[in-house]
Parts: sequence; structure tokens; C-alpha cells
Amino acid sequence: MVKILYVDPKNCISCRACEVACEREHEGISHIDVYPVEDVEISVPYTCRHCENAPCVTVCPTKALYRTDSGVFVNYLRCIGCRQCIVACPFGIPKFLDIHKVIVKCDLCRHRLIRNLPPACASTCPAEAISFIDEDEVTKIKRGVELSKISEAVKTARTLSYLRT
Amino acid sequence: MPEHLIRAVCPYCGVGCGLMIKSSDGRYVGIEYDYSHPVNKGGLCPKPNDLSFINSPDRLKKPLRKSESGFIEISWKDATKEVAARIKNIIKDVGPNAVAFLASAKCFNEENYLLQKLARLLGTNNVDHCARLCHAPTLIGMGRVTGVGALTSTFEEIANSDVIVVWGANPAETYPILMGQYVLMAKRRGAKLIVVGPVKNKTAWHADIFIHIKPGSDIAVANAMMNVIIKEGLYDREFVEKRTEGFEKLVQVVDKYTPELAESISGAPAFTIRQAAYVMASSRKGSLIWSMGITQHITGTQNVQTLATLAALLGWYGKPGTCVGGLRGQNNVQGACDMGALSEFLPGYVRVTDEAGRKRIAELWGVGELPKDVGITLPCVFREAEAGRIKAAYIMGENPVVSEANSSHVINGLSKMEFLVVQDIFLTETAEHADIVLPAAAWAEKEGSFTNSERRVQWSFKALEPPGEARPDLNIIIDLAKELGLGNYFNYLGPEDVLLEVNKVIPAYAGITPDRLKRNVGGILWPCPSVDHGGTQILHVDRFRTPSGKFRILPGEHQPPAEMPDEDYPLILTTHRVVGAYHTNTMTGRSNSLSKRWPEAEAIINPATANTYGVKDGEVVKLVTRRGEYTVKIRLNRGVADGVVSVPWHWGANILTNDALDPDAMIPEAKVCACNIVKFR
Repeated sequence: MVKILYVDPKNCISCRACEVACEREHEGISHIDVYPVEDVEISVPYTCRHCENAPCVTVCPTKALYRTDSGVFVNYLRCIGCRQCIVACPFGIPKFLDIHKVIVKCDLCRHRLIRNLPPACASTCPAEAISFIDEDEVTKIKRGVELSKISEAVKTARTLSYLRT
Repeated sequence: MPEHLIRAVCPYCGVGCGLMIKSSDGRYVGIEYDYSHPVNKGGLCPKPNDLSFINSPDRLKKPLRKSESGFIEISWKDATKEVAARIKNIIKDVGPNAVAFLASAKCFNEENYLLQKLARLLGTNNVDHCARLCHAPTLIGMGRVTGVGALTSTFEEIANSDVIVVWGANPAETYPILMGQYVLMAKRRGAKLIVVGPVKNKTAWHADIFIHIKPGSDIAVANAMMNVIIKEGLYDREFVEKRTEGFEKLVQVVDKYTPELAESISGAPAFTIRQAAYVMASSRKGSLIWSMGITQHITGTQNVQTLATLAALLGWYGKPGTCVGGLRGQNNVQGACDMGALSEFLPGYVRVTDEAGRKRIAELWGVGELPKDVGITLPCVFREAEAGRIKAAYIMGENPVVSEANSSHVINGLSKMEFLVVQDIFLTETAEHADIVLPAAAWAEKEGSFTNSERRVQWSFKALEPPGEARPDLNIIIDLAKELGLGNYFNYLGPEDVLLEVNKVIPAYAGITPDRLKRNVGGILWPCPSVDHGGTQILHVDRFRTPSGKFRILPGEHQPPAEMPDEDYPLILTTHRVVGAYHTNTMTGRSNSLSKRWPEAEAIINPATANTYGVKDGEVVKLVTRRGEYTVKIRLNRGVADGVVSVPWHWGANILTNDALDPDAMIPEAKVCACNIVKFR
């Protein structure tokens, strides 16, 4: 089973620990950003989705961007800085790093994964807004949330009918 | 060079998270998450994710003496000699009460214990620390009603609650692990979250019910909730009858506080107050936690007693799923209080006026008599210095120039002192006024125990080497004591020896030995009366620790803040914190990943207020109060009410705040004062 970076903005408390942790693990560059959306009072941790059929990989002329079973990665030696991936990515993830003239993006903390440690953002997140879990675990969590909403609604309805009598 | 991982406790807030310091050749190179730690299970907020302040070139490396041409480096021998000689002279000429000691909620239990012991053996109870600015009202208020000032149970019980009330606090920014792993966990299990406060902050974003009140109207709102709960018979009758005393008085007091009256005082809709009261009364398993929004008021102690009483009406004590108390702001503020670094308490909360208790400790220390007059408190140190009654101060790891309310008084007081010693890891704003500056080792460069907000005592190991000649605070105090001729009472080889003495002096710490702490990740919760005792998770299970064994209901009346808006200063000023800056920013300000994200203060005001004053988002203005002025960038935020300005205080905004004191706990009213916005041309 492949583990994925599961981001649930509903749990995010906007503390930006993920940014600071990512920056520490990646020589001062963070590949994740948290955006508070004041109007709807929710914060969104924003990072690479590691798409199965990744547009950035498709458009990359030098195969600097490539996909393995675990995610999408960059081979910096091959990157020619053409920025096609920036145009192609539907989420605006790849960033051009001016000092090295290459594209950078989330690498799922590969250096940690090989030591069996979860990515830094998922490790540090105080609120379970970011977790590194099995794919089917995500389905379970989402279904659990839906089921608890139904049971909540039934409970409320029962309480209301009790109060009315 | 090989890398090492050593277990330490986070040096920031009172949650007490565990982490591992990664070092190479004794220098900090990073951290690793401690997934097995019972408090945070690996998770960390942004602050400990970048601890690079510890490698900052600004670290103090040699003792400094102030000269006409600025600070000059001196040897440890000369520094210790001079400090001892000057303190001795002042004691000889004016008496020991002309000297004040400030202990530190950032230092280990052992170090705080030794500093208060030194003060008391020199003959003064003038020893205090920043708990005075945060939870002194909680300590005193909770002490009066329940007998113990500390949090009544663990964070785990918050996660087990059905209702969580967060009052005057913003754990999403100040206590992220508590918010994310415990409060939101409870919410995911179906608990309801009620947030009360003057700013719709990031915690309130997650609330089921948010009660938006004006600063300083807490008692009116809490009394109105109790009014509803009592009138509609929703309180826990069994608990109130069997385990509390003074209920009749409460009924009389809250009678007039209808939700409508509370609405007229607080601005929060009566409907919302009623709704919250119903939700709270829907479960006997609830938690009520608060922070500076409750304590930093002239009614701070009353606020605490009122909230504690509200929880008592609902039976939220002494069982799983309940937790009541203040969230302590510093990693060891609970411990520094336990160790007696307070002007009215000896170690273990023995009042200095309690003759039998004083005698017991004097005997354990092997001295004849200990001073019996209550010492002066932290805010009063600077007032008394201004008046010429305090001649010298010894400040360990505190920065009152930034943290105190009405801080120009502090600067004035410090400059009036004949002699000031500051022991710190950086040349702080306070240290700049010192005659002698002593370079201290940071927490990861030494070892000892911290006590978190839950009363959890944990050992933090030494992971790094201190820079230059910086030394652990413990060794500095021991050497100073020896130089002062008190060497016989300070025979310690290390923090272990001190903790073994603490085991004898404080009954609640009797079983918390250095050996056990070093073996137990996650530590032990006091009270722990013996070495075979596992610690106490939940307090007040059978009886409260009051003389009668019952919860003492002490009702409070609403009282307006000391300074209200008027024609000259038409706005209300309150203060808040941000997640990436910590207190006076001496540490976070020197950690690059943090300081670049949280570079400066941004005061928040409602767009309507901005309209009235013609201020735009991002504009730099001057905030003016009767005590000072402060230049700050404005951000528009609908989360603050019209007419209220909220400013983070990490960058020096306490120049504005009011130092009117709560008569019970002597805490300044930093959370409300009148202010005005002045535009630059």
C-alpha cells in the first residue's frame, strides 16, 4: 500500500509549523505554504498533490521531473529551468529557485522516508491537518466523518422531538 | 562528524512537548520528532521547529561589566566577586529587603529552587518571577476555591470532554499542540467547543459557539450563564449539595445578572449567552480553560474564581473528561511557582507567614530562622526602585523591560537602582541596563527538570555545549552563594542533588526523584507522595484540598476595567500573541525561519474603526495611551469589534498598557486600557 500526504484543511489551526519544518529539512526552502482564508475562517496547507498522471512530468522536456510509485520528484541535474511545469501544474506548485536556476517542489522528505520517518510536515503538524497515511486510510477517515454527521443529525432530531413533547 | 539525538523538553510554552535535539560536535544542527512522547506524540508547533537561536552570534559568551565606554568583558572570578561584594554591601547598609531577586519560568526547577533559597537565606522574601504577569490570579483564585492553583487534570481529559470552553485564550496560536491534539480531537469525537473573548481568533474559527465580548466584561457573562443554569435548574445538584459550600450566596449574587444585563455590559447577544449556557449544562463532562484574557485584569482573581465556580455548578471536577484551570504560558512557570519563586510562598506553597511551615523548611535547610514578611512582587520591584527602596536586583532569565505593563516605569526603576545583575543567554533589553551581565547556558546546554501546565515533571537532558564561557544557571547561583558565605547550604554537585533536596522539602514532589524522571519519558505528575507512587492525573477526586474539603464558591461582581475609553482616548486597547513569536522575542526573533514569517507587530482593528480614522490596511500609525506611544502597522480584521484595537506585545507594545493592579494577585491590567490612533502625515 502506498502512503500519501493527506491534507485536511478543516483541522488546520494555521500555525505554519509545516512551513518551518519543511524549511529546516530542505536547506532553508519550504515546499509547503499555509493560506488562511479569512472569509470562510479556514486555513489551507498547500503543497504538491503528487498526481498519478502528473502534468508537470508530462510537459518536462528533459525528464527532470519524474514519477515513481511513491510520488513526483525532480532531478536537479537535468532541470533546464524552462518553467513549463509551472505553466502545466493545475495547483501552482513548482517554484523556480533563482539562485540555482532550477525547479523545486515537495519531495515527500525522501531523506526521511528511507529512514522510515514520515515527512517533516506530517510529523510536526499539531492538528492532524497533514498526515502521511495509507491510501485506503483516507477513504476510511472520510467515510467516518460522513457517518458521524449522519448520527449527529439523528441525535439532534431526537433531542428536538424530545424537547417538543 | 557523527550526529547525536538527545531527548529534551521544548523550551517554549507550558504544554511540555518532547523533542530530540540533533547535535554534531556539541553544536545544534536540527531536531527530530519524539513520536513516543505522551504529550505531543511527535507533533510540534513552529517554534521548536527552528531552534537556531541557540547558535546565534548574539549569544553571551563572557561575563560583562558596564563601563563608561560600554560593556567590557571580565573573568567569572571577578564577576562573581563583584556581585557578591555589592549585594553584601547593600544588605549591610540598608538591609536584605533592599535587594530583589527575579527567578525565571524558563529555567529548571532546580535553578529556581536555588535562587529562592539564596534570597531567603540572605534574609528576604523579595523573590518573584513572571508568573506574576500571567497566572498569579489562577494560583490564588483556584487556591482559594479548590485548594490547589494548578490545572485540575491532564490534557487527555480535555480530549475526553463533551463540552470545552476556552475563555480569554487562543490555544491555536499559543498552545498549538493542546488545540490540535486535544481540543480538536474532542471536537472530532463530537464535543462542542465554546470560545469566549474579545477577538475572533484562530481558536474561535473552530468554535461551535463564539461569544464576542468587550474586554473586561468576563464576570458579567459568566454570572449570566450561571443565572440561566441556576434558574432553569440545569446545575449538577448532587455535586453542588455534596461537594461545594456557599451556593446560597451565589444564587443571590447572580440573580440580577440576566443574559440581557450581560449583553448590555459585554455587547455579546443574550441569546448566544443563553445558548452557550444550555450547551455547557448538557454534559457533566466538560473542560473550562483560560489564559491571559482572564488573568491580566484588575479583577483577575475574581475572574478566575467566577469561572471555577461556573465549572463547579456543572460538576466539572474530579472525574475523567473534566479539566479546569489556566494554561500556563511558559515551559516551567508551574515549576517555578512550585519551587517557591514567589514573594508570598516558600517551596510547596507554604505561606511565608505560616510559622510551622516556615520552621519545617528552616530545619530542613539547617538554618535558624527564615524571613517572615511577605516580599514585594515583580511589578512592585520597579515601583519600589523608583521610590529608592529597592537598591539592587538580581534578574535570572527574564526581560521585564518588554514583558511588563507600562514598561517605561520598568526602565525608570532599573536606572534608579544602585546595582543590577542580569543573567541571560542574550543581551536583552533588560540586560542593557545591568551593571554586571552573566552569560548563561541555554536549556539544551544543561540538564534539569521542568513542570508543565498539567503538573507533569519531566527531565530535559543536556544535548549541546554552551558557547564561550557561558555556564548553567545552577552553577552560577552555587558559586555566588559560596562567595556570599553561604557555601555550607549550597553543597550540590549537580541538579540531581538539588532535586533530591526538593523531594524532602515539597511533599507533592517527594516521589519525583532524578532517577525516576530520567527513566520515564513523559515524566511524573505531582502530587507524587512516594517513590512507588505513579503520580496523580486527576485532582479533587474525593475531596478538594480546602480546609473543609469542599469547593468554596466565591461569587464575584462585575467591575469595569481601571481605564475606560473617553474623549481623549476613545478606543479600547487589548493585546494578543502570535504563534511564531514567543514572549519578548529574544529566542524566536533570532531563529530565521520564525523571524522572517513573523517579522513585526501588526495591530488589528475592525474595518469600521479604520473607516472612522481614515486608516488603510497595512498603514503604519501611532497608537497612543496615557503611558506612551507605539508605532505599528495596521491590519483590518473583522474579528475585532468596532472600537477595539488588539496589538501583539512581543515587539514592545507594553509601553502602552496599564499597570493598574489586581489587589489580590498584584497582576497588572495589561489586557484593557484606553487608546487612540494617530496617523502620520
